[in-house]
Amino acid sequence: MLRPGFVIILFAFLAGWLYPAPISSNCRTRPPFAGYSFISPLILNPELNGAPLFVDFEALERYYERKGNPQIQGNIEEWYERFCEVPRFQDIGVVVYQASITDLEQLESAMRSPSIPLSYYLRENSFAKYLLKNKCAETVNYLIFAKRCEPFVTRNDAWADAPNTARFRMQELIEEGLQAFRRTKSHYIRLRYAYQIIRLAHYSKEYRQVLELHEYLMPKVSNDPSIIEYWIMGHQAGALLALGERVEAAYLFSRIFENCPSKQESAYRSFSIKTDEEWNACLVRCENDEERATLYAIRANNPNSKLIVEMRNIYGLAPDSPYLTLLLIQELKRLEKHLLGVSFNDKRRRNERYYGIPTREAGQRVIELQRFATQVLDEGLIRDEALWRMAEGYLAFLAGNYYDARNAFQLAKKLAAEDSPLEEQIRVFELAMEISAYQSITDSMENRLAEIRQYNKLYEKYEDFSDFTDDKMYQLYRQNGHEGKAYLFQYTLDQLKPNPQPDILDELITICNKPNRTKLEDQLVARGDSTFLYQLLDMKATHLMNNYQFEAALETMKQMPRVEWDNYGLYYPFIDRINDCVHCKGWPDNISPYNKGELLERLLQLEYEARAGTGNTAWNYYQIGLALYNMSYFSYSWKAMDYYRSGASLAPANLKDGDNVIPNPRFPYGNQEHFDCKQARFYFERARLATDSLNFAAKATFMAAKCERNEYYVNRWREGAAQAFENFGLLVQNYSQTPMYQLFIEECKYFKAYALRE
Amino acid sequence: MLLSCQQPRERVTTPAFYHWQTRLELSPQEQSLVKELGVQRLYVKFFDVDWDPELQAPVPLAQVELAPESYSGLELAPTVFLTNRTLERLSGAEVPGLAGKIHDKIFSLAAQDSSLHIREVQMDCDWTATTREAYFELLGRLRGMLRERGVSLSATIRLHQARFPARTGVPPADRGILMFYNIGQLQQWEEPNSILNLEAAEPYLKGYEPYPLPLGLALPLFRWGVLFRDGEMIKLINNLTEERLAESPKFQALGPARYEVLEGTFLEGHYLYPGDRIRLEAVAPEQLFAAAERLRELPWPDTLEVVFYHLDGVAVSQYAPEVLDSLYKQLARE
Repeated sequence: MLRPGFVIILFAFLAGWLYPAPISSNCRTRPPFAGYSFISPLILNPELNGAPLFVDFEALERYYERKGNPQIQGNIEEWYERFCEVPRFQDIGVVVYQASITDLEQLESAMRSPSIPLSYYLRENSFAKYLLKNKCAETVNYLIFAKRCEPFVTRNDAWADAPNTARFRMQELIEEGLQAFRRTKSHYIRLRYAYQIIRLAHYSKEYRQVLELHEYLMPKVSNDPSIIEYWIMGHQAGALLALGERVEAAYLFSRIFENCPSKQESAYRSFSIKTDEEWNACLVRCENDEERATLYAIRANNPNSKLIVEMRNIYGLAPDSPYLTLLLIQELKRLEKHLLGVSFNDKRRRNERYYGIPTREAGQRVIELQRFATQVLDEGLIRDEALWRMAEGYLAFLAGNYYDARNAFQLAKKLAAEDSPLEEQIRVFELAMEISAYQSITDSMENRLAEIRQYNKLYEKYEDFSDFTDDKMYQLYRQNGHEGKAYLFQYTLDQLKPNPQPDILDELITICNKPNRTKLEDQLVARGDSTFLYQLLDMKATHLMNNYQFEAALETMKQMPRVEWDNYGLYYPFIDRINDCVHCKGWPDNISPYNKGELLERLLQLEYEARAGTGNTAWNYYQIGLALYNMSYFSYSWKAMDYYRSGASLAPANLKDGDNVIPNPRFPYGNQEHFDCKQARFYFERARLATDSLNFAAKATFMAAKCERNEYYVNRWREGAAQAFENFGLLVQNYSQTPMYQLFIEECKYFKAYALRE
Repeated sequence: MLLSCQQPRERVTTPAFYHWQTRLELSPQEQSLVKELGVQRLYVKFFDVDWDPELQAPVPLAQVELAPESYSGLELAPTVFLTNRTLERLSGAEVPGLAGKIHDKIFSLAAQDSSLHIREVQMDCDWTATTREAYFELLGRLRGMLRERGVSLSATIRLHQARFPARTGVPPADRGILMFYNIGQLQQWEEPNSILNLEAAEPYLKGYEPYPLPLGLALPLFRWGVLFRDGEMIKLINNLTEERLAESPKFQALGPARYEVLEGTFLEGHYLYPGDRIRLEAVAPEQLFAAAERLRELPWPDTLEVVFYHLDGVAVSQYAPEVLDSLYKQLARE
């Protein structure tokens, strides 16, 4: 619908579009702001004038969504009141907004002739029946007229062009409306005709006509106060603005803002002051200080206004102005965003980078608001002392002065009504302050925090407590060298698996095995639940395997019952394959898989036998090499020594720091890949040297060549890197007559290319 | 040897203007500037398309009103500014419908001037990786509809998009206009001039290769004040001049083109608080010539349209016709 002042709003919106956006903004998508908020919308009365405009609370927005469009709501409420609250509220809405002209004309006919029924749509409508029964012909005729005006004053299709005849038809309707106005006896219906007529003139851009009609019609209407007067005032102000009478227009918009909730937002958007002269003239035009305070409140509503300045202005004029409360809460919210938990917020750098928050000036703003709050409380002229005391406490908390904050909260609690939203708000702030104030780690602190986390209703109700506490404790534990506990306040164990950290694992295993855990430790390690512990043990064993510490890894596995081993993966690392594959399936039925513990035992046994020379030494070495190769990044049993593998890890950009750890936003320590094939190559070379069989030696040499190739591939980014073909050379020189050699030629194109080149 | 004996290739350049106001009624001064430069084409913003949160749909805003008698003899190229948030909220299925609406709206607005013969339509959108797909789909649809009328489609191209076409994509249009402005870090107080900052542009110009579409070039003729409050950039005040601040006791000069507000005051409709800071940005002719000197080395098409952004009172008062004439001609030599 085309609202009054639409054109002005349009210009205001377009101000930022006149120039295309800077190039620097193109490629970035800003991450969301990450902070905490504990201010509850419930401490504000949602009906307070301007509440949804001044304070950007989702809860307030939802409240108004439930109430619906304020103009429609206000209009129906007024009809409801005028008809003595007899018809049902919803039925009024149906007649005014949904019924067609035909429905209304049939209603009008039914009034004249009892034989004509109401239309099917309105047959059960209490408002229609009321109008019929009381023969409210003037009301029905007005509703028909309003329906006819509708296409010219509402925005049904923004893309459609206005018909060429619109202007002419609107003038015709104005004339018809004037005739009806003169015929109508009810002053309330006259007022509504006046609204329709003046609105038509405004949308026709006949601004002088708007003012003339206003001057002609309004003295002829004498009625009880109505919101329609403010709607008319909106069109009058819009016309004045278009005609350059900016001060009077601004004044009228401020009156609408003050007195008419259904038009408050549009009045705010249309209010326009360009110069100091206009502002001063508008202040002079106001009839009293309350009206002047409203001007400052409108100015304060600008998203970037300096609220403390405007609060002082308003306080100087009207100390009990309700706007003060709104602005106070709004400024507290702004400061909370800058300062709450800023010392431990793990997204602080991101907030600074993308939002410039916290600004250097935020601390100064807290001090200024504290000064103002103290002044206000000392002078005792405001309405809500408890709220201001609470604000005093919260500001002290944000400034890091917990002692003063505690005292202020105590005073505020004495003033606040029991079980009121304000009292709850104070307790929420106290709880946040308690958590924020933790400085050292003690059993009593941990037990207390565990109870808060588990039982405190406010902790549960205010969802930011969880993140707030996690960030605070993460920082506190890290500062005190408790990496394991710190870790669990931010991440899950699964996020650690791609690169298990021994310090974290050891601390958590120790906590699991601790006889007298605190309640918080119980919460963190799932009360030492065996599944949690075994998961930690499996991760530690995997980490040790990665470092070829097989004895230590086996000892770690043995800390869990042997029957549990199968739960942590089954592997087939002793199967030979000429060509590599990472996701092979379909293993032969006659081969039994190994769990991690068994695999470690087998590897240690093979090593022992090889060293002792009690079995086939060459075969034993080969088996170890084969398992190590297959458990590396490059082969199918990689899951025995790793939890996460990415094909992208081999990209040169990921290799260049040489630590084999690839950063990943999901994993705090990144993803460590097991690229190493040196150890496997070592065993293949020992197998070749230990065997008498040329064919077996060929096989071991071929596997060593694969290790050699992988080593090059992982290091290819280094300056001067060149691929060595030492083992391929050996194969060609020494083993070309073996059946295995022929098999490699047939199966491995890579080798075949090399051999033919030779 | 042969190469060294060749004549330097001449590049033909033609001047044009953007017009970015909601009423196209050229003042006598604007008409005179256009005439003296020999401008034949105006890129006229016909309307913006933005997302209406109330309707949950894209809507046309700030539709142009044409006063044909003020621009007779000039060719108009309707230009439509499309906001990114529209594309972000639009479902894929709605894209063809929007293309149709934009097409229809252009021609219904053009009907205000019965003598208008449209040969080109331009879309202006600062698309990102997330909106590219929808935007290109929209362009493709619109281009198809325009082609049936024998009208070509052009699109504005930001500098980083021109420099990295493989990464940012190339819009499906017949040609593009490289917008060589809004280059610096607007949000940083220390920024010397975000409108035209050759130093900031240099990384994009170095190694610049021919763009896959024929390109024109847009150069800035606008000015603004960048308002900072509590260290944060909060507003742009269009057409703000040094005189406006220097003459008022409510502002204190901090340095060249930098001011601090001493006393609360309204400025061009914005209320400023004590402590607010303003950085004035404008583009002096010598900066434009320096930009042209650097830009002419780039591989432009043989025919290069130089479009000045934008035609208004500022352009008329701040840039003499002979300056703009030399400027676009400077780009002619390769």
